[in-house]
Amino acid sequence: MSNVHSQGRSDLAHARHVEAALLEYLRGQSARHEALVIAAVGELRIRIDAADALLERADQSQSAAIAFRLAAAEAARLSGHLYFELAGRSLPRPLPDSAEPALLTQRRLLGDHYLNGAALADGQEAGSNG
Amino acid sequence: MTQSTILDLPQQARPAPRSLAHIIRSDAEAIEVAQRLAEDFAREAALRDRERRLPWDELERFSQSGLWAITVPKAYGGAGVSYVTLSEVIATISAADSSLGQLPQNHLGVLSNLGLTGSEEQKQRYYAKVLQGYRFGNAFSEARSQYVTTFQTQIRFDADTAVLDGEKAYCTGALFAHIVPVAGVDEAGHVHIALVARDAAGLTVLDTWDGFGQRITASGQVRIEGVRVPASDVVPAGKAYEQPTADGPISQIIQAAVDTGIARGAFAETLRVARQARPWVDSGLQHGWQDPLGQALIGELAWRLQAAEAILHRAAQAVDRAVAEPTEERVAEASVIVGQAKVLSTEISLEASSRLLELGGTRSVSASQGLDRFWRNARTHTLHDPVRWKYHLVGNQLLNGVKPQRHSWN
Repeated sequence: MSNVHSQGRSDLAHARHVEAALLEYLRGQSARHEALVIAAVGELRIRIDAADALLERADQSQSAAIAFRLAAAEAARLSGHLYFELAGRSLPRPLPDSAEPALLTQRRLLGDHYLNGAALADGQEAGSNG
Repeated sequence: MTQSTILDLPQQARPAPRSLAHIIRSDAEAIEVAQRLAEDFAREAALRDRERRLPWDELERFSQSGLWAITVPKAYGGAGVSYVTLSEVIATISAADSSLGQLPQNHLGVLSNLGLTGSEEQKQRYYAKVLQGYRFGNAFSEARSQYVTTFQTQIRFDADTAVLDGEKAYCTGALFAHIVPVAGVDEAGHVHIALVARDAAGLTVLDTWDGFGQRITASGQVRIEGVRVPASDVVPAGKAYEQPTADGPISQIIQAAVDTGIARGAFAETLRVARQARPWVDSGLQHGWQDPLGQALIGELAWRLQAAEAILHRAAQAVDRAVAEPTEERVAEASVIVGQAKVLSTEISLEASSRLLELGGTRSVSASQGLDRFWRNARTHTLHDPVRWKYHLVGNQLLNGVKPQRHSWN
């Protein structure tokens, strides 16, 4: 499993953890019946499920692994934002197990791959080349 | 649209196909045929859009290929393909020309409803017609009702005849159809679909569609004035929603497949124009394709498109499960995942079609290239039903355990 893959799993697990905490909090609030709150919860679930669907394909290619990594990061980011918005506080996000290329670098590498056919190595190597 | 245009109905309109269609036998064949047709349809897509040239010839090739009959069950002589396959077929065609991808949308919806609510005699008769190459259009949406689910068109049964009166809008496919399915309510408020021959007396299809996108779908109006059909040509369509069925998710997943196809087409064109774009003066680069900021934007589109594709695939699998086992749980699951596919396909079709022009630079807005059609098509088609309520649909099930309402838009 690539480093990119590992960090993506960590972010996806975090997003799920925050979502569970958020649902538990909201179920004790009357806000659970407000349309905006319901839609926001729906959006988070969509980001989580998108990352999960990409995880199923992440072993197929390095581009698929990066796609999963970026989707998982978005799910984690949105979960934190939403928890702050709706519960008024933050939940700590675990520190990465090891270094990985910055997400914006991975985004660029993926674009270079599609645009120019640039080869994608494992996340760590690609980061050092990028 | 002028009155003269309304009266100048196309000569190509007819109540039956001119020749028998090819019959597709398998999922694999359906995919192969769709890929071949998509290459054909892509060649003049920009020209058809620019000139609003109605796709009579292309539709003839489309339905004659057998693709409009691939959901006819095997027991009735069709391929009975999965919804995974159907979604891929629609996305493939839509990437080439999304108007052509949208045109069978209601035809396929009617086939689903026929399977759920039609009598055995009706299934045998109409499935056979579709295998022969008949195309259904639609006259479903009311011109003036408060909600999309509220039908005002009246259907009155008089012995063995049904009589219909009403006025419809957004009738995609009706102009090109051999049979125009008309939705209406009887005196008891039950919803029916009457399968009306294209040349029936009292049925007038108006080419009034002037939307800036999906221009060649001819999604105009239909007037129904004392149209008479045998009662045996009427199916009790509303029954599909009296108990759990996959009818709603089927209708919606076709929409998501069209939008995913638009995103595919826009992304492919983005790569083409970005490779040709010149570098920005401040970048210090020799070529536009070396631009790291542009590459990052393309990477963003790439993963979002992959996500939309992956969820569309999951949604289609959920529809297949709901078709096989239409329990309340299965149908709700399908509605929710298809709702997710609607969200992601809407987002990426709009984003990719906008970035296409940004990364292509000013030269990409030349009208001769017609690249604006991707955004116009995405913006238009994704308005079919408000995607903001799909976030709500997904969240309400998750947070409050509320299952999606059962109708054609869920």
